[in-house]
Amino acid sequence: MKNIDRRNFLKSSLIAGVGLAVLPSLAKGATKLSGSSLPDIASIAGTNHFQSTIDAIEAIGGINKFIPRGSKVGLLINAPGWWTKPGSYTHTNIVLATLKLLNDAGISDICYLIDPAAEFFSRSPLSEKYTSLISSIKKCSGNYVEVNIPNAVKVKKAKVIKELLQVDKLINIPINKHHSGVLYTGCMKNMMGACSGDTNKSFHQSISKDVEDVEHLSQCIVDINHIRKQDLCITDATEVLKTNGPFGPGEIAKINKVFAGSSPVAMDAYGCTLLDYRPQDIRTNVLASEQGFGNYDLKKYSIFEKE
Amino acid sequence: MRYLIIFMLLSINLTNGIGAELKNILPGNKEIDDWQVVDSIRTIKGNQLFDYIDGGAEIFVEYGFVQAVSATYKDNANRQLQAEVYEMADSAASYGAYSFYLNSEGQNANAGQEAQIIDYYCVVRKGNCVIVISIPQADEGLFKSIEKFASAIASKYNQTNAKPELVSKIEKASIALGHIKYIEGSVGLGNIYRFIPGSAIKFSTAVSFFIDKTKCLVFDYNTPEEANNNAAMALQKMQQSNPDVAFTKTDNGFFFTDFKNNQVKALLYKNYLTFTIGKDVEKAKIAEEKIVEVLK
Repeated sequence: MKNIDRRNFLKSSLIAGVGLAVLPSLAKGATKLSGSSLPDIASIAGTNHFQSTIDAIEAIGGINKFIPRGSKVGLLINAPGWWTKPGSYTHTNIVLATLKLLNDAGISDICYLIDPAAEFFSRSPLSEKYTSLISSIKKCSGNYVEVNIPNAVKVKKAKVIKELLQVDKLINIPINKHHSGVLYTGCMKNMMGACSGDTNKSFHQSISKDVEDVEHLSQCIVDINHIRKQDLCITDATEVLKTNGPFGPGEIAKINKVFAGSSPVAMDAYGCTLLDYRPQDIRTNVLASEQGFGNYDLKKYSIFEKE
Repeated sequence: MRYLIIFMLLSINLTNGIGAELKNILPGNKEIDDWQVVDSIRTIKGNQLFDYIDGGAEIFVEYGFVQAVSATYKDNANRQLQAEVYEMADSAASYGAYSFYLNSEGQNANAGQEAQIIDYYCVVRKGNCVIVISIPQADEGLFKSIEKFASAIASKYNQTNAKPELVSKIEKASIALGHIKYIEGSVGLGNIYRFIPGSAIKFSTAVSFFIDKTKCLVFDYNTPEEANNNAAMALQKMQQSNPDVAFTKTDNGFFFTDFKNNQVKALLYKNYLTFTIGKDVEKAKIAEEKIVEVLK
């Protein structure tokens, strides 16, 4: 419970990992960098969320660093039909920016791992510009297959959408919001979006007043993250639920940030700090780190922040 | 006891169709201005809540969830509104779930036994029910519609009930700044203050509120001995989990400084374990004295 100043914390990790010399070039529009100077996470602030998304991805090396041309891509967007309240779903412009980058990079074989809400694209006027791109994305099949998870602690078998196992690359686009159970939901928790309803329900010990319910759910979330690697994570921390998540309604935090990276644990460790949690306060971060799935210690990462 | 009540309510639902009655308290087509139901009214029972609100279910389950009904409405201008009614196991459960929605910036609304409206939603407590009316984004033009829905639904539910005793006691003393949250388990507590570990404090009922800038928690136990044992256990667990933190014992409690530089002070008083959490130690001390005065 020692006091940690997040700004200094991140700044020091940035200095260690990236080097101050790269800051000006990134800050001026996320110039592509190469080699070891690239940050592990790039977090871009601003009210133009479309541009922030592009800048964040460019800052970590550009879309092709993570998704080679010709890849079959699955999109895991946290915007299904049941998230209707403000701050509960990934914002449309972040997805549109991702689609634009994929398209520009010559990547066209894209499918949803869970379909977004029917009105998802109509939430943004910008969608009109990308109608053909939007219509080219394959809908989710709705067919779930059972997979074994040998490294799991609790969830040894899970039913997942079949495309999760078929796509070459997985792009996870969660929203960075509060969760009344596990306190925070980001990249790791969003993997539940690729699981069947029955599998997800088994993660909750249901009618129980036992504190272990949260522990159980946290472990289940970590377990399903063993199923496959997330190749690129883009987290929406623009307008998010700060209380009463994940469903809402609750207090909305206008953080106006989009951040990108490829380690879900690092991304969640960073993301939860935007909601005033420490990485170690979130059990999924801790369990994932203990089980060798990643590391919640932000000092281990280079993080670029553009305010 | 809580589970017995839930079981009994569920049994009554199966035989007497209370589920259908709850469904009926949602407005039908054009019952309120030109609002019409999109699709149909949905009824959610027991574990179906996890399908409906995924991770949001835990907190309702902790308080004691029985059933819910939900519907989306559209008006002639194609504007959207969602109405949800959560039936809870008892009055404490409904107050607890209601208090969980309360926002320091919300304004009182005229619906049910008490209601609050803010930006894009209204939450109402009426009997064992919590009513939530929300719109997809803040729109002042829809404030009146939100209030109409809240009021109309609440008026169809006849039952009223009292708040938990400890909440009433603190409210009556007028020491709390704003609303008082009522907690019945670790999920609720974790959303108000994160003791490390999360299981540090065992309890069945507690309240949380602010006195000035001091966050206050009062855990209510059956006997002073139970309060004392739980305080000792909490201290032990926190010491084990936080070896770098200095915990100082006092005659009737302990204190430490948390990672946000708040002084967290525990005090045992009668059958209560209280915590005052804040950076200003003097203000926290005054808050503690006020709490003790109320608990006398």
